[in-house]
Amino acid sequence: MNYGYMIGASGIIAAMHRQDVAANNLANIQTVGFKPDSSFTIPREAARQEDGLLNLPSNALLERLGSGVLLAPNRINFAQGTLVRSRNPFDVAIEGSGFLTVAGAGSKPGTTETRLTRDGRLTLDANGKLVTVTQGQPVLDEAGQPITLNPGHEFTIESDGTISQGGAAVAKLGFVDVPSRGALKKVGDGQYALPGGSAAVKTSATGRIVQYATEESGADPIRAMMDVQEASDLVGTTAKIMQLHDDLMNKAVNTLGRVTA
Amino acid sequence: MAIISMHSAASALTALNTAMDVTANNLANINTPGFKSSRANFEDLMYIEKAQPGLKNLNGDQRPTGLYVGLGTKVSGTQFNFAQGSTEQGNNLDLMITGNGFFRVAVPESQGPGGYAYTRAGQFTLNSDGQIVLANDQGSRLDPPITVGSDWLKIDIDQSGQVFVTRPATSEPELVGQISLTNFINPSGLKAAGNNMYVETGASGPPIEGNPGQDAFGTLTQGSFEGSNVDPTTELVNLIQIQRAFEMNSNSIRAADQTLQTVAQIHR
Repeated sequence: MNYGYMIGASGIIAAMHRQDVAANNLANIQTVGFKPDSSFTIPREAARQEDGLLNLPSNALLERLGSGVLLAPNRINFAQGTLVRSRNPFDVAIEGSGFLTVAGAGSKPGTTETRLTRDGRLTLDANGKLVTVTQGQPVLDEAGQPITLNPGHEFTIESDGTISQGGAAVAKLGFVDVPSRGALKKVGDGQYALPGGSAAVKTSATGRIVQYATEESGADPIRAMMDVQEASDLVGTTAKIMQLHDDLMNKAVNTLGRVTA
Repeated sequence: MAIISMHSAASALTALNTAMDVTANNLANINTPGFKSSRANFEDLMYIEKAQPGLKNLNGDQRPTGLYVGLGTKVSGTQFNFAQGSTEQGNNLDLMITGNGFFRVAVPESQGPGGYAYTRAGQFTLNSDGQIVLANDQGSRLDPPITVGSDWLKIDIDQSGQVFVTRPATSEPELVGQISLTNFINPSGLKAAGNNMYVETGASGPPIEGNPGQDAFGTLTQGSFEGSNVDPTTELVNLIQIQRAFEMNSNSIRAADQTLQTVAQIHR
């Protein structure tokens, strides 16, 4: 039986995937508002179970033989990142749960779709519209509309997202949460796509908005580095197991099967 | 597979390199009048989707989360921090803007749209025509031009930018001009042109002119100039963080290389 080969190969494929995920976390340790992915594996069911052969006569040996490993879905670790003070009034960070809403590019050209982000580095565009500094996408208010500010004038952003200029509230940042964060999809640029597009169910956020601050990446550099190295080592040991299986086959074929005169 | 790790780490090394350059430039300009520090803005790259969330199995259960792998990071851009710099004591014609706004100076058309550049480095002097000019190697004229003439005893500039000259012949100070300030909807969109100057771009929006103290414009202080707003502690902490991140990401490349090497050696 060359079963060990397959099990070893599945282990190597899974370890390499985990290494990719950890390397991306490590690459983003300077990315504001970044949330690291955790990758998981699940055991693959024994062949007997997978193939639905449970009514066949049992074989105690094969019964307990696993068949390698499968990748489980990634999960995003939304733990709070450290807030770092900044001197830019356009920098906002979120403490606790919640997301800002921005108008990202839709699936068809010319359309937009609401996306969520924790990266609150904002600025005004040439028309005075509040946009993200990374991609220049409009930041949306509670009603899903872009926000325009009176340029050059000071403004304050309160913890619930209310923007005031000259003592009067002029807009309120859309500050939302979702019932199931697992369904959020990372689309790059620090943004998350909602499962049902703009119309997806949103709940009000329980966190608070902090002006003059940015949220550091949530990736733990030590953890990410260990994960990268661990995956490498795992590939090494698994490859060794594959070689042992190869040795076994070698013996079976060339030693055991040899006809001595 | 491990190739993705390598590319992720390589993208981080490239981005960190840029961030290092930005930080080094900030530190180099720690004594530059009117200098505004920049920061490199990082963002994550796109993700490869290996499985979609929401897929249904035979039982009708939905896959609750997706399976995707990120492709690294990039610097999406650099951003000026227009926070007020320190106050430095200077000579009589030095001007400091407290609040928003830039001085407008005349430059060759090739250097700035409309022949204008904007600066907050308010170190001014006079040229041989008695005009107020920037005290740099270009001697760019302040715009609108202000001529104090040759027979001045004393030049006074008030908070709102009015320039008064006292001459030997008269006892009363004479109003010779008004210094105006320029602001932009999005100052972060300005382009740094060197020599402490910025020029207008499509992203900054058109210049908005006004007098100091009016509307959203700052006020002027004569005899001082604005120093650099670089905070050495922040920059040095950034430098350390960047350097360590660089080291760790280079370890990623090595680990990914080990992985590939092992895989390549399975077949002996």
